[in-house]
Amino acid sequence: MKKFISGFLILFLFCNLHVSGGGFQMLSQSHSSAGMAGAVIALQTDGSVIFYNPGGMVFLEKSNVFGGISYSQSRIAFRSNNSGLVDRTESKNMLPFYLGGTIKLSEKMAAGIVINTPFGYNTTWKSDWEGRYIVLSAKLNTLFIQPTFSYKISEKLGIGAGFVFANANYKWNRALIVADGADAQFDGKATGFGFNAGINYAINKKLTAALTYRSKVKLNFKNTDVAFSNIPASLANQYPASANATAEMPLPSVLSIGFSYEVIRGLKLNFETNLNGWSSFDSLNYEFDAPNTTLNDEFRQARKYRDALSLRLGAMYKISDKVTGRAGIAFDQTPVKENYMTPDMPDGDRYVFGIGASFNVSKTFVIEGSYSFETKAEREGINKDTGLNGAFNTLSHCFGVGVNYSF
Amino acid sequence: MSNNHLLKSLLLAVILIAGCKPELKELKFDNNSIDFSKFVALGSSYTAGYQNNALFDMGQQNSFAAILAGQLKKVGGGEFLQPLVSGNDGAGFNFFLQTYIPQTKINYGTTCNATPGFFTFPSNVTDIVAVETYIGNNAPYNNMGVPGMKSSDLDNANFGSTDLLLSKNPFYSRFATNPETSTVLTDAVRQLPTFFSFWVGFNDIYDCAMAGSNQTLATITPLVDFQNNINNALTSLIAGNRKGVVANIPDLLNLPYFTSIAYNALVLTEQQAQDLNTLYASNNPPITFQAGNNPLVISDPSAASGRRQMKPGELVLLPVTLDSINCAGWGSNTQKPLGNRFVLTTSEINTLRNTITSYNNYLKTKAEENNLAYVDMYAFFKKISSGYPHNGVTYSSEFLKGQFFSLDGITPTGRGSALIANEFIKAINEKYQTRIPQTDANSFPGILLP
Repeated sequence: MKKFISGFLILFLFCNLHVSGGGFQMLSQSHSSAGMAGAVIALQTDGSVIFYNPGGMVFLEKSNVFGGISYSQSRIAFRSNNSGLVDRTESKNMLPFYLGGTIKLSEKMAAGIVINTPFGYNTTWKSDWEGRYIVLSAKLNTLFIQPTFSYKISEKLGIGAGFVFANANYKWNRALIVADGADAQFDGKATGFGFNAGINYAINKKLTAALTYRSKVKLNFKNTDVAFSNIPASLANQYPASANATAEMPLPSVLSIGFSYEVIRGLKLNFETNLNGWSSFDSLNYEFDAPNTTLNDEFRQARKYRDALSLRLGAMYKISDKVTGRAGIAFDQTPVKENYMTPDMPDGDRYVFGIGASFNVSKTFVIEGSYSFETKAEREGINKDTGLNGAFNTLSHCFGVGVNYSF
Repeated sequence: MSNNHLLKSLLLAVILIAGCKPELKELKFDNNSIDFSKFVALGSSYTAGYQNNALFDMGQQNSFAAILAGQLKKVGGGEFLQPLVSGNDGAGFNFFLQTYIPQTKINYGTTCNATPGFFTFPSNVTDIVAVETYIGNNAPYNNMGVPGMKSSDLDNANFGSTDLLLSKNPFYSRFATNPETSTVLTDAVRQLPTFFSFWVGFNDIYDCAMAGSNQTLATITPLVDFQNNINNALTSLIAGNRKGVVANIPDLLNLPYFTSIAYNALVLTEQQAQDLNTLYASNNPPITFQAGNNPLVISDPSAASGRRQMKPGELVLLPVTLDSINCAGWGSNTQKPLGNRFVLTTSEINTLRNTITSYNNYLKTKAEENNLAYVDMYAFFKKISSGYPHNGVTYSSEFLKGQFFSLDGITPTGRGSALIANEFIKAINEKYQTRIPQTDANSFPGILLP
């Protein structure tokens, strides 16, 4: 048993939370979820239910405080089909985290709040790489705050909804062809609003169904600082040292249907499907303030994302009073079309395999962890706007731990 | 669980994470047993690396032929010797006026009508010595590109004469093995090339086009002569079943020399328009002006008054310059209609374009007949005109801003040359099932902005 536990502890360390959801979603909002490749909406395991299904929150037996942090590392490789050469991004890390609490107000009511980072990416290419006139580095950080209320209509039916306040920072730069070393740097902060709602329905003692909807969040980068450097004197008016621009980046809605079925005592199978509404991400266009509007045409990026489907299947088994094991598999369709892959976030269809466990230190204190990895097939395409022609491959690693304290 | 075990686990984790990187194989390149060891390039300005109206070191180093040779080297190609002009001044040559010209430069400032903008101007250095210095003792050279060379010059011994009255072109005699004896073709063939590029015919049409189709300055090479010249040259070049690549001629509507000044580039105020209407009151055919854009006035012997306004579709040539229209009265002053040398009329354009089509048809037939790769530059220049994205940069034929054409509006920049080299590579790869790598054109020099 001791060996088994230490084995799991090793696995905790290799979790790959930088996965699941397509595009730049990071559905690593709990380690119990990642251990089952994300198939959790019809489960009420711990406080993270507030994010995955507000309708299930009221079925938590106690109040909870929970949190977790991950260290994720991601690298992208690009092979030019023109020159045949391979470029790799530098190793860059993200620190996705989550922190929250739920309070059981009464038998029929629960409230809670969660702070998490459901979207993001961090990519840095070498300064001489073939796509330097498209992107050199790009980093998106998001922070969502979601206060939530859940109500038990009957012993079988619970509903819940939360308000989402989103905060984001998007920094990126690229080289400009006008002179050696010339580049454009963008740094913008945004806020956005949305909601998260869910219904949880226990069909019978063994089968539970859930329906959730997280709304689209439109990030409004109102004051993006744009700086141009190493510009030839003759173009100093066209590319001023500093300028201001606005842009909008929509984060997708996610509609999910899920089921949880207790096959035998202690073993639960979970199935879930998500429709990720990425098609709202058509383009990333910067509109410059006067008098720099002539730059608008130069800083338009077509994205043309499409809606993408995820299918998730997970199992959890109570091995002993102290240990619960988890495993899952997911197919995650990419929203990115082949001829619109961009080097900041090329993406591709992925298979996600997850395994994980939670360890009850005491009746109220749980440490959880997960290991998941994803395979993303090498993907080739010619971007219609930039002409970049080649294949992308991405690899992400992540490790982290989470805790849940109930009282 | 011991602390030791935990430590080992952590260590293992760090190793695994640090050791992983996404796998992607570099593309394998090969020559499919085509021998690129001795590559010889035949052609005119584009092959030589003439740019900004001149032949000089930097332009030659970035000729499409030199770039192509660099890529061929990755699949078994050999050294590529070029007849370099020393220094970065060099000189150009106006073939229809038979005079040396200085390199064209760019600057930014206030144009004649007080609007800020880019303008081109002639360099104050014309390094004729650098051009005329004989370097034939190192001949033959792999790059046999001679700016201004026509198909009839290929096998013409006079073309290598040091006497400009005979050669009509200073750019071959400087590196001919035996001036007045050797020809471009004999110098090419005696190197026993294993592979050649052949982009000939540009000047057969463009000397005339650039002279506004003024027949006393330059004429089009008649199709039959062009066919004979090409046929003779290719027959010598392919002897022994040699492999090579033939390129065709781009359309004049895709070169900024012919498109950067609009037919109605005359911008007038209400007052200016009224004044001109008074001056032209008795013109036949009638000419009227209005505020805004107006067609330029050109001389036309067939018009009763000897001048008329330009029609849509007719072309103004780059040497006219906007300054001379905006501030010197060219194309509006009754005494200054644009001369025949500076415009192409509809019928002239049709003749030129039809000839290009005929030339290209012949080049294509000959390429196929002789099992040579064929590069459709006519189609490629069309793509450039409509905007051609390459690794994030959109190239176009817009003068000074499009990145593809140099300051003469005819020849490419280093970046343009690299894109051209890529087109040659695609055609060779397709024809001979080779896998020659293309190049990142953005890495080559463009127009250096002040």
